Formats: sequence, C-alpha cells, structure tokens
Amino acid sequence: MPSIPNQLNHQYLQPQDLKALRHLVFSPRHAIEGQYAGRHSSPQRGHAVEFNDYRQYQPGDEIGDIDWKIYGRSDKLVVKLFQHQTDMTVNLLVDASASMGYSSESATQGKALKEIGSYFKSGGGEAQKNGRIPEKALSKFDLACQLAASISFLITQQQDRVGLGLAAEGLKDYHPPGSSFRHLHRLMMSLDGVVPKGEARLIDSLEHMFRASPRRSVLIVFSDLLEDRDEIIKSLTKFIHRGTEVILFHVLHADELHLPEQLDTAVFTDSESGERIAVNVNDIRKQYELRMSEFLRGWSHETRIRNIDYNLVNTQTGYRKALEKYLFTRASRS
Amino acid sequence: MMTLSAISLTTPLMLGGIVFVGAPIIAHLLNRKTRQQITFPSIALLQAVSSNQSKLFKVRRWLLLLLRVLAVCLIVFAFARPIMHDSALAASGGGDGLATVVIVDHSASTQRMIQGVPLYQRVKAAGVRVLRGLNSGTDKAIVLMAGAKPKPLHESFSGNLSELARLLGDTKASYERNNIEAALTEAGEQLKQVKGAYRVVIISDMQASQWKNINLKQLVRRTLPQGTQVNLIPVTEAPEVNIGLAGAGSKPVNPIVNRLSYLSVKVENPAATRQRVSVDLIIDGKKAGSQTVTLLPKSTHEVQFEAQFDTPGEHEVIYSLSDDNQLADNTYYQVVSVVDQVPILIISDEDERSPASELYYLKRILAPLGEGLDDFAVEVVKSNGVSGEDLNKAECVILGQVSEVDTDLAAQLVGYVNNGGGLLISGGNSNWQKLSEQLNRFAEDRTFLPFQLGAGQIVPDDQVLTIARGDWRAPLMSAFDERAQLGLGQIPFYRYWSVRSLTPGARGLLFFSNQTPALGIRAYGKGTVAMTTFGFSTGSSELPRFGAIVALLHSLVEGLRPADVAPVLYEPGKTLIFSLAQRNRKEAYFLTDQTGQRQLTQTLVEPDGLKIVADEIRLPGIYVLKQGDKNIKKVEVNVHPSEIDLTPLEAAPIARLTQNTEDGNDTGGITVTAESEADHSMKGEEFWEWLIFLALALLGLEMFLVGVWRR
Repeated sequence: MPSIPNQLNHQYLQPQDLKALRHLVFSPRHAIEGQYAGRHSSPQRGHAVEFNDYRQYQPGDEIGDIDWKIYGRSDKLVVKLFQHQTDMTVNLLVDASASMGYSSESATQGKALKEIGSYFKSGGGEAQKNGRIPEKALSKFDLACQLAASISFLITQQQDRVGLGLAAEGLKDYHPPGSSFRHLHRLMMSLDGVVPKGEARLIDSLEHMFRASPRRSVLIVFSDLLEDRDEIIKSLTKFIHRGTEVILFHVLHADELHLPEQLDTAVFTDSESGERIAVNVNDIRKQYELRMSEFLRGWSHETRIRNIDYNLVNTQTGYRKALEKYLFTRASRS
Repeated sequence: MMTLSAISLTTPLMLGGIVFVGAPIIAHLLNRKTRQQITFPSIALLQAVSSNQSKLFKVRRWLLLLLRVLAVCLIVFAFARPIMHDSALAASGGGDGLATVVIVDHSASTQRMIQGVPLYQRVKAAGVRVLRGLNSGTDKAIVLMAGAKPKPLHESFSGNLSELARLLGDTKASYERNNIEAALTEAGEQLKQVKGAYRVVIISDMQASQWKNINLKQLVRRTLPQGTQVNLIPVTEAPEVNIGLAGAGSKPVNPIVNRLSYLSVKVENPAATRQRVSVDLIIDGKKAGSQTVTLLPKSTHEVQFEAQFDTPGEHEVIYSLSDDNQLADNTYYQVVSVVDQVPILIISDEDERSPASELYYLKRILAPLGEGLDDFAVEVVKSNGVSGEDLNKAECVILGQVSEVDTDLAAQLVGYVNNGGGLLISGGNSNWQKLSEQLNRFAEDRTFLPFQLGAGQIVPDDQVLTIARGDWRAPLMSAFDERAQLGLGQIPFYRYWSVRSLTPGARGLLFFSNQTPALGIRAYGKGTVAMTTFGFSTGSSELPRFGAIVALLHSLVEGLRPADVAPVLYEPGKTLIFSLAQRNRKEAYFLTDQTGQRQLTQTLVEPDGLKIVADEIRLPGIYVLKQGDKNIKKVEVNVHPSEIDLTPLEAAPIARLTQNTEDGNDTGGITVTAESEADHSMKGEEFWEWLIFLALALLGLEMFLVGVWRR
C-alpha cells in the first residue's frame, strides 16, 4: 500500500484515522465494468488471470482460447473462460441540504447552519487543533462528508476511480470519477466549505448522476432521506436495473432518533421549509420514537427488497466506527 | 376613596401596581422568545405526532399566563384594599354613583358631656367623616337628623359633600327622642327619588333604652329599597352617672284653690350606685321647695312636695335637679290646673229637701257648705231636664234615683262616658231592669253597666250584711286607709241588688259579706262607669249615718273625673295640638314659649272647632296658647324619660342587630363600623385577605400545573 500523502489532511479526511482500515478493500459486491484492468471482477470475460469456466468451442472463437490439455484428454474442443478483472468506478452523492446541517450545537444555539459549516474556519479551540469536530458540532453533513471522504480515500488508495457530487437543489459540484490522489484532493477541497442549505432535490441529483455514471458501477448515497421515499427508491431502482450497485448511507443525527434530551418545551423549525411547531418534547418523545422506528423500518424494507445496501448511521456512532462496521459487514457478505 | 359601584378602594393609588401585570406577560413573551428554538432537520414527524399536542401546548401556555396575570391582578387589587358594599349594589349602582343617607342621632342623650365635650361632637365628627369618605363628583348624600320627626338638613340629595359636612357641623344635639323607624322610612323615601347604589349610614350613641326593642333587620327590609346597604356606626361611651326627672303629678289632679295639694316628681337613677341629689320646686317662677333625696341603684323615687295654690288657673311648675353630665333631663315642667270647685251633676227626680232621700245625702256630702265654699259645685237636674251643656260642664255625673231614663237621657249618658266622662250610678233605684235596658241599648256591645243585676234583695232582720272586702289598691279606693276600711266594714246594709253577672272587663271594688259585689266599675270608651248595688239613702243602709260615706263618695267622684287623669305628654319634636271649641276668632291664636317668644303654628278649622298645631317645638318648657293678652291654654313639653338612661347597647346586642333573623332577607346587609373608621364606612366588607388567598391559590394551581405538565 502506498504511503498516505501529508497534504491529504482535510476537514473531513483524517488519513491517520483510516490506518486501521488500510487492510480493508472497498470492493463491489457485483461485477462491474471498468476501463482499465484492475482488481475487480468484470462481467466481461476476457484474458485475465482469474479462470472462470469452460464452454464448447464455437466457430469464431479465438484459437488461442482453446484448452488444448482438455482436447488432449477428451478430444473435445473447449474454450477457457476467464473473469475479466477491471477497475472500479464509484460515484458518491452527498446530500447537502439544509437538513443535513443539523447538529446538537446548531440546534440548541440556534446558530445559522453556515456558522456550523464554517466551524473550522472561524473558530479555534481544542477540537480544531486535534483536527476533529466536536461531537456537539458534528452535523449530519459532517458525518456524511467524513464517510464519503474516507470511502473516497480507500477507493483512491486501491487505485479505483471515485467521483463525487453534492445534492443541493440538484446535483452540484459533480466531479467525475478519478483515481489519483490529486483527484482525491480536489474532491476533499470541494467538500470543504460547503454550507448545507436549501433542499437536496435528491431525485434530480440521482437523475443527473444516472446520466453521468457508467452502467456497471457503484453509487453511494449519503443522505438523511427526508424526501419522498417512493421517488427516491424509484430513482435508485433505475441504477439497480442498470447494474449499478447502490449503497445507501442513511445519515441521521442522534437527536432525530430520540429527540434532544434535557429539553422541555421548544419550538422546532423545519430547516428546509421554515415551518415551526412548539411542542413539549417529553410529551411526544415516545410517540416520536415509534414514528421514527416506523420510518426507518420502511426504508430498510424498501431497500432490502430492491437489493440496495442500506446502512443507518448516526452522528453519535462516529464515522470511523460506522465505516469499520460497514466494511467488515460488507467483506463478510462478499 | 375611589368607588366602583359596589366596590370601593381604600387606597386606589396602589392600583398603579397593575403595571406588574406586565411582568408575567413580558415573562411569557420572553419565554416565547427564549424558549429553545431548534432548527430541526424535518418537523414532519413531529407534526405527525403533535398535531393535537401543539394546540394543547398553546392552551397550556395561555392558561398559565392567565393564572399568573390573574394572581398579580388580585394581589394588586388586594393592596388597594377593596371593600365590597354588596353584590346587589353592583346591580343597582350603574353609573350613578352612591346615594348615601346619613342618619344622625341627635337625640337628647347625645347632649351628655364626655370630659367637657358633648358626645354629639363625636357623632357629628363621624358623620362628617362619612361624608368626606364619599367620592366627590359621583356620589351624593343627604343628612337626616333622626329626632322625633326625622328631617333632612338639605331638601334633596346633594353632591356638594363639603357643604353637607358644613351644615352637619353646625347642628346641635336636640332634646328630642330619636325615631329610627321614622328616620329609615324617610331615608327610604329619599332613596327612591334617586338612582344609583343605595347606602344608609346610621350614626347613633346606641342608647339601650332606644335600641333594645328595635329589630333593625325588619325595619330595614320594610322601609328601605331593595339592595340598600346599611352601615351602623355606634358612637358609644361607657355609661356615666346620670340622674333625670322622669315625670310629675299632682294630687288631686286639679287642685282646688287654697286647698292643700301634693306635687310630685319622679327622679330616676339608672346608675348601679346609690346617688344623692337635690330637687328644687319652682311654682310660677318662685322657689317653693327643695328636697335632698337618696336614690337606690337603678330605681325611681317619687319626691313629693306640699303645695297650695291661691288662684285658680294654670300654674307653671318646674322641678330641677343639680347639674350632672346630662343637663337635658335635669328639669321637668308641669302645668297644674287649679280649680275653684269641681262641677258635679246629679240627675235625680227626688226632692232634695226630703231628709231621708238619697239626693239629700248626696248633696250634703259633696257640698255641705254651699255658697261656693265647697270643693264640689253640685248641680241637680231632673231626669227629664238634662241638657248636653249640663253634661259638658260636669266633670262627674251621678245618676241618683230617677223615675225613668228615657232614650234621650240614656243616649246622652252613654255618649258622655264614651267621650271620657265619669258616671256613678246609684243602686237605690227601684226600676233597675228598665233603666239598664235603656242604657244598654245605646252601648256598642249592648252592655254598658258593670253588672247585670238580678232581683232586689232585702236582708232579713236576723242577719247582718256588711262590706267584707274591697280592692283597696284601686285608685277609686285610694281614700280608704286601714281604719277607714274597718269603719266601712261595720256598716250594716238592708237592701241590695243581686248580681247575675259581671260585664266583661268590669271588676268589683267592694264586696258584701255574702260575696255579692257592692261596687263595680268598667271602662267604657274614654270614660268610666261606676255602679253600686246599694243606695245612698237610709232606706238602703246605715251608710249615710256614718262618715265613711263622705270618704267613699269623695273618692269615687275624684276618681271618676276625666281627662286630666292621664294628660297628654308632650315631648320636643312632637306636634303640639290644641283643640278648641269654636271661639271668638277676631283675634288670632298664637303660641309662645316661657320667654314670650312666638312659636310657629298652624290653625286648622275643624267641624267641631279649631285646631292649633305647632310642629316646630324643639325645646322643653311650658308653652302658652294665647289670644291677644289672654292665656287660653298652657302645656308642658318635657324630655322623654327614656333619654335618662344613657347606657349604650353592648357590643353583642349591636352585633345581633345586624344578624339575619329571618329567611329571605333581601336587603343589602347591615354592617357595623367603628367610629374611628367612619370615613371607611363606605367600605362594607373588606375582602383583601380573600384576594390574597385567591392569588396564592392561583399561583399554587399554576405551580401544580407546571409540575404536572413537565412530568
């Protein structure tokens, strides 16, 4: 494995945190189509080191593909089939809507989300010195970016290609896949300084991404999935049908799962629509949690039946644990 | 003081504290602002689970705000020390302010001196404080002087409270007796003339003799408009020793010229201690006697003076006591009417020259000397010759032995008695049955005589009939002391009438040894009828031969004399009425007091004469009705004896005056206010404690709700 370049220290990318994951490989669960020879199996059969199967020789087949040893033993002409090894193309779509900007700090202090987004630019403090975002200030967008950055890093490191786009009022800042660390650096730079705002319009973003991404690739979506579930599923299904592996990181804040603790009554403002509602948190906590469980179960069910890799992550877990867990689980399923 | 219809605020400035209501409101608003604002990713789920809760939450917030604002309001209101007049006042009040009738007790008892200052000064001061306590500009008042005839100081309700206070300040205590009932009636009439909330304030020295029998609740209900709030302000003082003169009399009622008579005055000592006082007698301006008497505690002593008048007519008698704390009752006035002779009419058909006849004895017993030298001027008429004038002149009529009583005479005699005359009927007549039938015919209840007589009885020779017992305490028997009684009991009687029955209301004064009534009387109309079952001739008994007959006849005739026995008692403030037969009207009648000052009078022409009415008699004394230089009639006006006992009602009875004694009381309630708080007498019931209590309850409820909702 090549050494990690020092200049890759970004807001969301802490390569030293990923040292423990270096031995893991982010590989697709399905065969994919790539441009170059790589380590990943491809639906294209061709000349490669990985034997795949035999089949009856048919006229037109390359003579060189005939397994002569078989012919010698059985007097049958069979052709050797090899798994085509190709590079992997991964497209990342990060939801940069206002709802993703939610963090405990931004919520309780009522700070503008952009302030949170520019936390590292504006403030100092211990956290910044460590290069880590304090837990309270960690927004869903931060977690999504951390995950995206880490995965990008792993993909780049294994010399596959990774592209990145932001879902903010449609697809924004889309970087077509690349495999160099310079490309990774660009991706990271594009994540830095992004202020989650407005609506994601995830459907539009997916549509755009659908057109931009190759047929058999991997699509990883980081979102809180607060848009219309059926429409999103519909869009994702299109990817599936095209042979794209879809991985869905459902990014939620711990407060979304259980509502903020130590809170009596509060006015909740919808980060995107601006709607307000005053509630007594304690009174509705249980009902809310039930609703939230229902909501998550719905996503889990809908994605599972469509062979979409669904992963629920929350800010409390932290991206390293979440990623580690995901990669190990993925490796065990491969 | 600020008055809000049914509620007055003692310290309205404290209402400024209402700005503190802003505190919970500001807190509420700040709370809304400082309430945690959370920008949440999506409130869709929240909306789904709190669609009702949000509304409930709002309601809760508003309810809490309401509770807090109410609590602050109540506390501020409590600090303004509100006073609830009455719930009914609010209903009747409207925007017309408070109409207050201040009833001021200025009866004679308020003249008493307390450390050199009349008690009335304090009564006035309390009244002035009440007036000053009213809300100038909206409230109106009238001051009623609660004397014998309550009269307002001002014609009608006035909003000029300071002028009313000045007028009240100029008043003085009267010599009258208060009349709370009349005062309340007048107050009710006055209140009916105005709109607004009604209040009656009674300021009184609460003299027990005046108040103990008053049922104030009933009076208020009967006399005042519904919803009137009554406020009683007792101006009481520990009872001082006060000796007063409570009445006077003379014996005989109309003394005869140059005859010894007895004048007496009642001296009342309501104190619980023995008192020694000096009583002076003044007749016609000259001191005629003085006595020092010792009075037992809580007793009335009659002090008697011997007196002899040398001229007929009305004489002015004044009794006076040495000065004490209450001067009003230290002088008592009396007009003693002295006569030359008492006119007596004897109706008899006998020959007065016949020595054995009844008339012979009657005339010689009553007028033995003749020629105007006797006490009685006896005139004799036949039964068929009695005129109305004869009867009018006579102070007593004796019906002797007559042949018959015709209907005219019977009607005349019944009318005479009915109008107040005294009639003595002798039992010497032989035709009693017819006579009594005639008299009874004209009587209202068909019974005129004290007895229904039976058959005439003749006492057998071997028996002796005597007077065995008598009602010696009766006024008509007052001449009979023990020796006279014994003497009368020795006299034998030969003939008498049996008695079938006593007329209801009649009573026997003398009884024979066989228990048959010998003398009976009955009241009829304004007069009295006396009747014997024996005759006054020697044919009936040995009585004419004994001196006892003199005592008996004199006593009966004196006792049957009309009118003056119970003279009209005039008191200051009451109307003085002189009824006169039609007289020469060429010169006007007028009334003067002792100093000769003319008094205001009205002359009313009545069918049977003139009526001189004087309404403005305010002072005790002797008043003279005159025509030109001629004195027509004198009357005495005295402070009522009930004003002597200055003991006030105690607190408990005063409190009882305000209690409900009957169901369905629809008055606005009666409250008692201390004299020192007269200016707050408009208060009614203070209820600031309840406001504080309610405020605390609201705060407690608020805390409870907050606790429950936060759980």
